[in-house]
Amino acid sequence: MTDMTPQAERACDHALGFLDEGEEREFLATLEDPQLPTDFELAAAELELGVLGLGGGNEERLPEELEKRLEAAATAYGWALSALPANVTQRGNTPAQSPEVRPLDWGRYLGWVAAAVALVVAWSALRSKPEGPVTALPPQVPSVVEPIADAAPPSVAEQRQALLDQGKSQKLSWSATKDEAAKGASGDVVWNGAKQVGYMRFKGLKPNDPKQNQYQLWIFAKGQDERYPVDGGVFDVDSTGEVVVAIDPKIHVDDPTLFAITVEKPGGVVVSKRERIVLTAAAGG
Amino acid sequence: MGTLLERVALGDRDAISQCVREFGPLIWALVARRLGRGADAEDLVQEVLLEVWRNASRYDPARSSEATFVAVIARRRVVDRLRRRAARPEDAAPDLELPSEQQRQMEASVDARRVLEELDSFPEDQKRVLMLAVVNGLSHGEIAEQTALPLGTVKTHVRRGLNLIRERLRSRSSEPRQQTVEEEL
Repeated sequence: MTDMTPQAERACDHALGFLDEGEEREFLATLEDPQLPTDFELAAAELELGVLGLGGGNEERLPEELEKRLEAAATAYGWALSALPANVTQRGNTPAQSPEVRPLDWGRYLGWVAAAVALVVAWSALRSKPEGPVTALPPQVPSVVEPIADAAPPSVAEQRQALLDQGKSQKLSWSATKDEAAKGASGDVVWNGAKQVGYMRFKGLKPNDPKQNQYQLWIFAKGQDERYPVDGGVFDVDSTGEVVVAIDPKIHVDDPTLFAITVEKPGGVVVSKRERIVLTAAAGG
Repeated sequence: MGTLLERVALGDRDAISQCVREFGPLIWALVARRLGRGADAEDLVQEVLLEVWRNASRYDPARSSEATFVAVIARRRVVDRLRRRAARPEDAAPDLELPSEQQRQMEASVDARRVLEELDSFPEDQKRVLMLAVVNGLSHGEIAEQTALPLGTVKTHVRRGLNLIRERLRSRSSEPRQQTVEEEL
């Protein structure tokens, strides 16, 4: 027997992983925020770090492959966060959090954030292999960029509207990142999986100089090859007005989970370094 | 600027990447030690890091160091994974050997060194039992078997020992706690 209350004893057992799954659920139900570490967990963790001589920053380096995976995961996580509305951050009690910051409903976003992380990590892992799929990536797909005002019948905008009118198309809104080219940009992606046809609509996206750089679309999808995103082609934007761009992937894309626009060198790239992500549109986001 | 985790909580992408360098080796050390250095451990490291990013806003510098906060998340995921494993795989045996006293004193963080000092004030039996439970993750029954101590004594040593460490850690800081088990009672 100890002089501890039964609840404190359970907290201790919880911190050491001694509770079975049922007891664990019961214990966690008594906590206001089960994700917040208890004092017993902090004590156990600190003791373990002390005994193992860890936490001082001189741990053994990560295996190289694992480090690459984690770096890719970090990029994907940051990328996914960029797709969230600018005034949204994590729920919690961060002292620096300003009162006007709206808490993030993680339940809503977690699915595709995790999916994006997993996809990009797997993509990165494959890139590192000599026999990897880089050479098997689809050729860049030239897309037609057409300001609505200049459209000739049937314009790309009209084709987009016709596709929408037929129904059964997915329509996802773009979320602007903090990139300067995306400031004030909006629009949507319309994608019809059965027809394998889609259109991107932009408004307020900064016009590019094709000699300096071009926009490039990437499609993360579940149905085709989930290990890396499909290159959706390069395109230019010559107006801050409404611009519609056709998507014409050369390989079949099932269940897209994330469309992302990056800024790349003229002609686009086979593998993006994702240094400038300007817009993303997530399924379920 | 805030701490690294506070910056992660605010969506700072550089901070998110920096976590790989700052915490990746620590997470790997904790996970590989208990699960072995296999693919399963590597997958778990990635899961832990994702959890760290998602829960960064819960970090409170008044309660612990960032390394301790990250270690809590790693310990939780390791326990979950071990629960799901029927047995530890032979091809990825965990390495439960402890570093020498001198090595750990040299390498531990300042906070961790204080905990070691607390631990040194414990009776030898209690110290050994506590280390087997906290560091090697042995159950009460396994510790009783290994130490030949009665099961009740083992439970008492573990619970009292960790409770003492917890109280001493709490007394280090005069900051109000966000959540303590005592307050939950």
